[in-house]
Amino acid sequence: MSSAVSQLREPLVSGDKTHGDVTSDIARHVGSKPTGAWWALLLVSLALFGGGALAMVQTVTTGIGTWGLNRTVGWGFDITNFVFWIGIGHAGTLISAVLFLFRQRWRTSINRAAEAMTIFAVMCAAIYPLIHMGRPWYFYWILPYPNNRGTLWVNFRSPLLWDFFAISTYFIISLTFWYIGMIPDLATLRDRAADALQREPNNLKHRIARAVFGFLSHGWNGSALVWHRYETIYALLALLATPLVVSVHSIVSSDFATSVIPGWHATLFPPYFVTGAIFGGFAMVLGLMLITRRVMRLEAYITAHHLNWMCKILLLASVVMGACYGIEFFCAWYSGSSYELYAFTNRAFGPYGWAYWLMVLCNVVVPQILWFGKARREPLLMGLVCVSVTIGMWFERFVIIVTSLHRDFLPSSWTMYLPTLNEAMIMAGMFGLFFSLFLLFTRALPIIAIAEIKSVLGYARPSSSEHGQAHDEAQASRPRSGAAQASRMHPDVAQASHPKPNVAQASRLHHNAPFGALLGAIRRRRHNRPTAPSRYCVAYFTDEHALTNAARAARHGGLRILDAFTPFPVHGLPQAMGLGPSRLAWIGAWAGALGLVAGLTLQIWTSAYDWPVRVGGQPFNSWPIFLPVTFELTVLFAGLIGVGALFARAGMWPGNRAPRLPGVTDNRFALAVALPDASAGEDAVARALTEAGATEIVTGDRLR
Amino acid sequence: MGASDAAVGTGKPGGTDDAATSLKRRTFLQIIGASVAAGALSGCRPPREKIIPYAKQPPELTPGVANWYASTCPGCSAACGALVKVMDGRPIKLEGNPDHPLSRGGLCAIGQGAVAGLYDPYRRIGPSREGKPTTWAEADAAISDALSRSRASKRQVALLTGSMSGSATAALVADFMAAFPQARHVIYDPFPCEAVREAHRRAYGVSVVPRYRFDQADLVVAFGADFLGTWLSPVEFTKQWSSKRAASHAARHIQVEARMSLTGTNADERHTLSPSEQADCLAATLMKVVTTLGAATPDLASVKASWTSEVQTVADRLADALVAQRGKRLVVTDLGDAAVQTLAVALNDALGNVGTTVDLERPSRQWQGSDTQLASLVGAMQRGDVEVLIIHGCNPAHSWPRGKEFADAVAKVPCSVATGSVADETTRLTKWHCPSPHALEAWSDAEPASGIHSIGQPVLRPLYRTRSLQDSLLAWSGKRMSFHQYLQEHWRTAVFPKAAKASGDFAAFWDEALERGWVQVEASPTRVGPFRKGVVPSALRQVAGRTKEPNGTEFELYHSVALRDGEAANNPWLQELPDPITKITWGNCACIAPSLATRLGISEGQWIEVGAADGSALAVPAHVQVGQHPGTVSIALGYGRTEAGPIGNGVGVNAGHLAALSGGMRRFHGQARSVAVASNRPAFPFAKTQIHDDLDGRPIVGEADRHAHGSPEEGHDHGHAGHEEERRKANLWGKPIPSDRRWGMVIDLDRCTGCSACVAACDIENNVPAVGPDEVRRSRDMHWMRIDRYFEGDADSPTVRHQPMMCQHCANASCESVCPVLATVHDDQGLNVQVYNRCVGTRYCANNCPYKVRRFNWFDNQAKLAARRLGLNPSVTVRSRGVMEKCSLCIQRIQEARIRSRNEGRDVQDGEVRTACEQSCPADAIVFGDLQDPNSRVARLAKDTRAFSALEELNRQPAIRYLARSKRTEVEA
Repeated sequence: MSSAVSQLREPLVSGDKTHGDVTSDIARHVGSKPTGAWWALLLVSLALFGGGALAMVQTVTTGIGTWGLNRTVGWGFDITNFVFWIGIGHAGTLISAVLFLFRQRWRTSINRAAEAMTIFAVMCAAIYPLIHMGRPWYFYWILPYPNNRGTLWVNFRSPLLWDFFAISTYFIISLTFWYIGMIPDLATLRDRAADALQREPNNLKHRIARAVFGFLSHGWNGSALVWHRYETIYALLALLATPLVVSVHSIVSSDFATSVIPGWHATLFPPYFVTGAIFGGFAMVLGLMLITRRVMRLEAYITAHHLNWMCKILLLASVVMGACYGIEFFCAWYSGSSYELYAFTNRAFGPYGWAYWLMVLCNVVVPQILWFGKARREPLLMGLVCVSVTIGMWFERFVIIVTSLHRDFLPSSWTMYLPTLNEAMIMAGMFGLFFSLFLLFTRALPIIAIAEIKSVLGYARPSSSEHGQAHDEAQASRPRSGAAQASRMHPDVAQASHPKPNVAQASRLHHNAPFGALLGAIRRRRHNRPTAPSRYCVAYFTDEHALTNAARAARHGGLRILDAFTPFPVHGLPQAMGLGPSRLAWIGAWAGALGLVAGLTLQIWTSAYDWPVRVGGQPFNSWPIFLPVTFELTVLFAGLIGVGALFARAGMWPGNRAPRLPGVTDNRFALAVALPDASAGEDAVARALTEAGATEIVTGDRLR
Repeated sequence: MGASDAAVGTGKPGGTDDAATSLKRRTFLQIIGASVAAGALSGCRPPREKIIPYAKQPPELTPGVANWYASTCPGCSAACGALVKVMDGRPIKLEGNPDHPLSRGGLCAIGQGAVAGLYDPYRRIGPSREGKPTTWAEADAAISDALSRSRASKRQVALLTGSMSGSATAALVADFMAAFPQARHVIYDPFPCEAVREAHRRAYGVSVVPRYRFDQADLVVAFGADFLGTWLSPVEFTKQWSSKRAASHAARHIQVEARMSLTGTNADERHTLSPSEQADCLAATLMKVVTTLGAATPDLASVKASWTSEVQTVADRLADALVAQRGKRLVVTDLGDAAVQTLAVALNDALGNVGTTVDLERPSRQWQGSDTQLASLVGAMQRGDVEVLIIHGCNPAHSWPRGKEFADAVAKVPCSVATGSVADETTRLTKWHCPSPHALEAWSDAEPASGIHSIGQPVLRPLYRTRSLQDSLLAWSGKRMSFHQYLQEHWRTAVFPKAAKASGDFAAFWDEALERGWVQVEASPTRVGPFRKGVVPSALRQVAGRTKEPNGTEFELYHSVALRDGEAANNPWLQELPDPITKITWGNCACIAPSLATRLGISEGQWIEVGAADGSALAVPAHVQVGQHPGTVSIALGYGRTEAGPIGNGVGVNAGHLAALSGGMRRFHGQARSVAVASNRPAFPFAKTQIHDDLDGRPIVGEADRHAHGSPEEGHDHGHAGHEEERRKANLWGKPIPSDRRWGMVIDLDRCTGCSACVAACDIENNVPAVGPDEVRRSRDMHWMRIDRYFEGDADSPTVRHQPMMCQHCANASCESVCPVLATVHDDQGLNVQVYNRCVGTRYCANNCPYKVRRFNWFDNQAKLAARRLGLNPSVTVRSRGVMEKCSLCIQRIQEARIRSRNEGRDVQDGEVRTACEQSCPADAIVFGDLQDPNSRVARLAKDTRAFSALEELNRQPAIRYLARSKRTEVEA
């Protein structure tokens, strides 16, 4: 895989950025003074949301009758928007999880924002099932909880219940994924705030930032041991989120596909819906990125290539959607069912035909412009395509839901659906909520994954850590500018070019750092060995390769490596440090198995034994229909228990004030080794580390 | 709608009835007491009479168990036999009396809705003088004074009433009249039958409306008469028609009409002719039949010349059919023209129908109204000849074509009294309003057909300070007796002696009569003279002499099935009952043919102005109706009420003034001076429950070919018995879980006429709210049961199909598996039950229901029912906002039967449970029972070759089966 990376590939980040540049470029937006335009947009968004909230209050207090629904069309704007927002959310997970698994390193520039978008979109989506209920105050009746009114369980056969499990699992896993991915960046922000506070001790903003980010960063200190476990869990979450993202929209499509209504009753729906979700979501991500990179001057990170790649995915999805539309018609015709055929004829040529053709125009015709390379470079055109696809995908859901319902089997019941102002206000309110949250996000959190982008600075690095040697070579073969490039090609030259370590400077900088406690903690966690070394030595590097080489050299030289501290996960470092694969993956697997068993047990027990109820002519234990919820619980258990295990093993908890080394969340790399007791040995180690490229070496005693 | 915000009772409460104005259940029970018991409640009331429950005779009320009382339906002059269901002292439902010789258990929508009138919050609670509350003593004194004055001044005392067929009432009225030298009793019906009586008087010398026997007729030819919908006695006729239809595959029915009437939709053959053409056609048919039968033909070449070729074609066809038909025939027409009626009489006579399908010896006593008498009374009033005018049971201020003239005339009467139980346009005109109690609160009697006497017995004491007309007449004539006493006395002397089982004990006879609700006695047959042939030529000449504009547009006024004369306009259930043909609720329309719409360039809902020959005009929204005669505009009467109450006021337009008074008789059709677009008004949005009328070729409503002389053949779309097992095998889940029973229904589409009585019955039984026109426009009607109506074929002569549709209680119910909270599941009785308490309102079940029978409470419909809360069925939950509801197959009735049978240690018998729709069906089209019991009626019917399920290919396994309508082919001569 790694060997497939071409030298000809353009750098993922342009502008010759250093690690430090990355930190400051992205972090400077956090908490920065908003512009007038930002305020204006936020106010508009909040106003829309306020209107929507009022409309929702009216709906809940007066009744669903405030909407334009009727006895035949039971779902309209509500479920249209629900599916729309769920679809928008999908691109985030796709980018963060699926592209992660496929080693698409370019995702690093956009995954944070895309994941945030997922969270916000799912929030917008989740409001709809809630308020669309006739009696929303009883929403909790959908939960399978034992109660004191006699036996009473929920219907695990209902796609709506699957929805509930799928969406809550999706939301929880996405949120966890997003948050886990952000912890290193939150630590970076915390440390920046701490540094700034040192310069301006009375600045309240920095104090708040340090406190908030300090609380949220779970005591992250860039430890390579934690990175190692972190990466395992991150990969696990990606592994879970990938089928999850497929399952969620498949389940949402089951709301329709499992019904009997012509136009809904189609086995094509799951892939069709997933593709549509990716399509719509990508358009939304691309649109937001287009604006964000411009407004926030992030062109170096979200480069033309990123846009190009996203456009190509959009184009692919558009073609697939077009094919789906065609296949739907084919299936309807081939089914031989006059009802099916009518449903599709009615879609295209019935009273809502305009919506159908608008959908085709927006989703299939307009995106074809992306075949032209020029179009994929022209932001305005891309923006128009994004808007077109967003509109088109909204209408796709509208077409599927409303035109299928309004004319189904018995012509006597055919009606039309005309939405009311209330529904329009709620719909606008959801957009208001989404953009409000996104706007706040751009000011409050790093919208690009700082740690991850550092790992891809200037070149594509394979993430596979099993092939340490191979990728060392691969790295060596990759072009890079200036001295760094030279260092990769000729490590000796590179080391030679490093400045001599300045011991005095080091001691001045770090006199406050309680290294002993830090290292002691690490040692206890790692080996639980009572005989911790009494003395240690920390060497600082400016380059991850130097660190890796130093670690490898130190280990081969018989030194015990205590830990390393890096701003991003340095691949090959765990191998260099001699770390085996993390066992957390196994915990995740067992947790998943537990979820599976728990899910099946819950459903079969409640449905077939505790409260057998005749439903739809099915047997009490209709286990195949219980699989969707089982799957969701499997994923939920694996994800949450896996993350819990990471937190437990790595000693991470909110508000953890673990000690940390300076600059290791920014642009410095540190290696901590145990020192032999003899002072002569100490010098030898320091010399060896200096030779390996250390720019700074600090030694000290353990505190206890 | 406004029903919810008005308090119970209007006007100022006074006297002892304060409590009644803010009725709470407890107070209510205190007031009404146990009306069956003889115990005294308070001393200031007239003595309470003993009434006997129909089915059983409980020593006292059992809470929660209904008592049934036999009574007479107060809905219209047809006076069908009714059973009143009284639960905890409150009448909650009217049903047909299965033993009644005429209605035989059927009851139409109007009758079903009558119970709502009892709880109408806008009822008058006591007498009033010029709109101000007064006391009975004051009113009695003043009216008695006026009556004495009239005796002195020799000015007239006029009693203007609707038809009151009861013999005791008639005797009482006669007694009352006898006391005054100048007294007259004028009967005015919204539906005039005077022409029929006049024709029979001319032809046979008897002024009667015959009793038509559709159950005897192998071939019915109806000219305009909507006998299954509104004409004379629709329930009785529907029973007769459907029983004949079921009994004989050869029975046929040809309808000649201008509008698409309910009867027309059920005809085997239908021709559209305008009203004037119908008259011509009747004449031509008569001539052809007489000629064919070889009798002497009146030489009337000039008459013949006036017929168009179209009329002649239809007439030839009809004459051929009438002559060729073996067995008995019947010709009826509803044209309010004595000459035309005379032709129909002559035709019946020529075909030998008198004595078989036309019974003149024991004629109908319904609809005795006389327009000519009212016209003469109006003249007398205008001249100031009338001292006292007592109006009861009719509303000429609304329905008389010259309502204004009538109002002015009433103003000239010194003492005018109205006795309606509700305020209406007429009571507004009178000085005194002495309100009658609701029919369920008072004694009454009726004799719908000669010799059939029925009693209306009160089932509760009057809620308000009201007194029936009969009691008032007794009071005003100074008699110190109640009508109950009078009635009993009359029966003792006049009815009892004629009864076959007159065993000497009148008390036993009386009790039995009350229990049954009716008695049949030997009535002396009307002496019918020989047919006077001489009347025919003059009638023919009269018909031919009518000026007809060639290609001129005609208008036709009719009564709607849901509201008829509009008396019950304040009843939201009836207002919301969809018209069986147009499916329009809450208002009337001008039905015009598509070709006329094209010619005028108008679309649905646009206002047109129809001008009558006498200069009156009416703006009315147009409804484009297939099957409508292209040259005729049909408008329903009974709408446009102004004083009906907040619900009925201003619904639709009043077309009454378009009717012409010809020789004092109203004629409900005529030449339209003009039909033009009222262009300045925006189109009226009809509140329709069905927007799409076309089946689009879908095999949903089955039709079986059935030849007149042969065994029924399987319909082309449906032949299912064999497929059942195959379908079961195709089931993904294998064998279903067995259940104790499988309640189900078989609906015979061959019998069903689409009259919608079942819809009304279901609404009332199941506390289904009426949601008002705006909500109906949004397609949010709540009907659990509806009748789907489809038009097939070309716009001029479409085939109409009615299909009652309600929850199909599918074994593989689509709704059940999608409900997240198990709010809709199957029970062990095989029912698909809806658990309102558990429903959170996702509406997925309704979306996934292929039959679209589920109804969602978009708003708090409970509030809409609140005004009538006392009349709600306590056995059926009133649903709250946000929950789904649907037909339960009257699960409360199933439960009642189960409890009863368990108490008696036996199984529920087949036929023991009757759903509300089944019970009310005048056509006996619905049969309910256990499909799993091989000996049940439903199980046997479900095996019929005509049986099919709707949307069978979906394999939902519905518990509702339909029997395909038989296509009756040409008579083989």
